[in-house]
Formats: sequence, structure tokens, C-alpha cells
Amino acid sequence: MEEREALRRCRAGDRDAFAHLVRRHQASVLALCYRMTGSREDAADAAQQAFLQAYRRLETYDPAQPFRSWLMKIAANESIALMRRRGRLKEIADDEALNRAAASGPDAHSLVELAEDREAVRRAVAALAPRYRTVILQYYFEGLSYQEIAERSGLSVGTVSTHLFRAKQQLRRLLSEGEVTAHHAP
Amino acid sequence: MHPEKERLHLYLSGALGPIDHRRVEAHVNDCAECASVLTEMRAEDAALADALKLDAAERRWLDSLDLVAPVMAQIPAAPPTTPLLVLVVVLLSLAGYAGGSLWSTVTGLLPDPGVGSAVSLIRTAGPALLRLLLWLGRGGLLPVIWPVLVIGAGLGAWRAFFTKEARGHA
Repeated sequence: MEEREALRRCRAGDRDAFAHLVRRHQASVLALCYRMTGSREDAADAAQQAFLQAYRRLETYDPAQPFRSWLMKIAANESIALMRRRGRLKEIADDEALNRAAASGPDAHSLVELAEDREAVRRAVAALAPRYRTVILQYYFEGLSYQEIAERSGLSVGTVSTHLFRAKQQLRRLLSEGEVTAHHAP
Repeated sequence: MHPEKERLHLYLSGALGPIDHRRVEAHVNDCAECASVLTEMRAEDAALADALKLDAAERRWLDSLDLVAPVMAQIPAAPPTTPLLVLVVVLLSLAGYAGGSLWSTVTGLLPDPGVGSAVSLIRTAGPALLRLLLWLGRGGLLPVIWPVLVIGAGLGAWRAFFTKEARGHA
């Protein structure tokens, strides 16, 4: 079944058509939720919630936009909401002074070297402030362009770029200071 | 003077305006230090993308999960089609009418013979209506049920009162 046809049927109340959409997108949604939450259990719950939200809000979906993009945005939001509900959202302080210093001074550690510990990177990403976590995953995990991220989030390309830069600074700080431990990870 | 790293990042991402972009580009072309920073930024991008890729174990876990059943279990059944909805509204109205008549009779608004017929109707249709209500509740139609019942009951009470008045005048 074509996605457009499935969406049309869903809007007409066809549950089977929505099941088809869940089957088609579940891997992408789950993967994003997993990277967002850092936990398999939370990811499965967040992904379910994302699909339910999508079903409830189907009337607000603009068919001119890609369904996947709309769904992934819901998945990211549901992941953050779930972690907040479960008290697992440990937001790292977005220190403006540190950001400014990082923007001008030399980096003590190379992110290329720090990223060799893949597990630490994933834990660190899952500990970033929500807006930074989202933009990092949209860019590096989903492979979206700045323009696509801007369209999805309703931000300007410049703001997306700034968020990404600061997200990397925060990530560098977390990784180099060893702030991300098993306890810190969600 | 070297541009700040954030500015270089904006340059790399194409987020600078055309004039600023040309300015930074001109600087980077003549500055080995800034060119090196840009190279490092590109390498960071590649390293982060690689670190966040799903590995084989994660892929296996993802492939083993099926969200269709748990998601669909939480989605209510499709609401009834129009003819069925009409039937439901009629039945609910009748139930409300019978309830309203009974209430009017019991509270003395209307003497017999209304009691027998109203009780009989409720006794006959009651269980079926209860099951219908539960089914509709699962289908998300709960907000429809109560107004229909209340309107039916109001009509029943009004009819009973009107009948009594008519008899009084006669």
C-alpha cells in the first residue's frame, strides 16, 4: 500500500492502514527514540507513544510535508516528554560563559579522539540538553541537512547551526571531563 | 584576526550571509591555521556520525521488536457507520424517554398506566443497551451517549407531564 493511500485511509478511520504505517516506520522511530533516551525500555515506550500521538493528531498533518519527517518530530518530542515524566532528564547546564570561551579558545581535546569511545558518545548525547540532543541526532543520526532541520523545527538555518555548534561544545565537555557515567546515562 | 570557531562553523554549514561567507572564505584561503580548524571540524562531523550509527546488536534488537500489536491495542475501534449511529441514537432516545416517563410516574407527575410499560421497556432493552453503551464507550463515543440520553429523558418527562396536564384539563 502506498503511504499516501494509507494516510488517506487512516483519515477515513481505517485502523489497518495505520497498522501498515506503524510497520513501515517502526524501525526508524524506535532507533531515534533509542538514541534520544539511551534506554531500550524507554525507547520502546516512547515509540509507542509517538505512534499514538501521530494517530490522534493525524488531522493536523499536512500532506504536503513528508510523513516520516512529521512522525520523527513527534518521536523526538515524545522521547523528551517521557524522560521528563520519568525524572530521567538530566539537563546539562547551558553555560553561556563556557560557550563563549569555547567559541573562541582552543579545544583542549579533539572530539575526533573522544568520539572513538562510541558508547561514551551515545551516553553523552543522551545526557545533552533536549534542544541540543535533538539537533545532534537530526544532523548526525538522521542525516538531515541544516535546511531540513530548520524546516522541521521551525528555526532559522543560522539558529540550527548555532545549536549544533553549542551541542558539540557541550558534548566535548561531557566527554573530556568524564561527566558521563553509567549513573548519568538515562 | 582569526574568525571565532562558531563563525567558522557557520561558514562550514553555509549559514552565513553571502558577504560574510565571502569574507570568511577569503580569510580561510590565506590562513593555514583556520583551514586546519575547518579540517578538524569536518573530521569531527564524520567521527560523530560514525559513533552514533547503529551497531549490529542494536539493529538485531530493533528488528526483533514489533510495535504494531501494542500500538493498535491502544487505538480505539473505528466509530460506527452512519446507519448504525442513527440506530444507536434512536435506541438511546427511547431509553431516555422510558427513563424520563418512569421518573415522572414514580415522582407522581403521572398516575398509572405509564409505570408498567416503562418498566417493561427498561427490563427488556436494559441489558442490550448496557452492552451497547460499553461498546460505544470503547469506541470513543462516550461524549455522544449522555447528551442523547438526557435529551431523551427530558422528552419523556415533558411528555409525561404534558399528558398529566391534558388529563387534568379534561
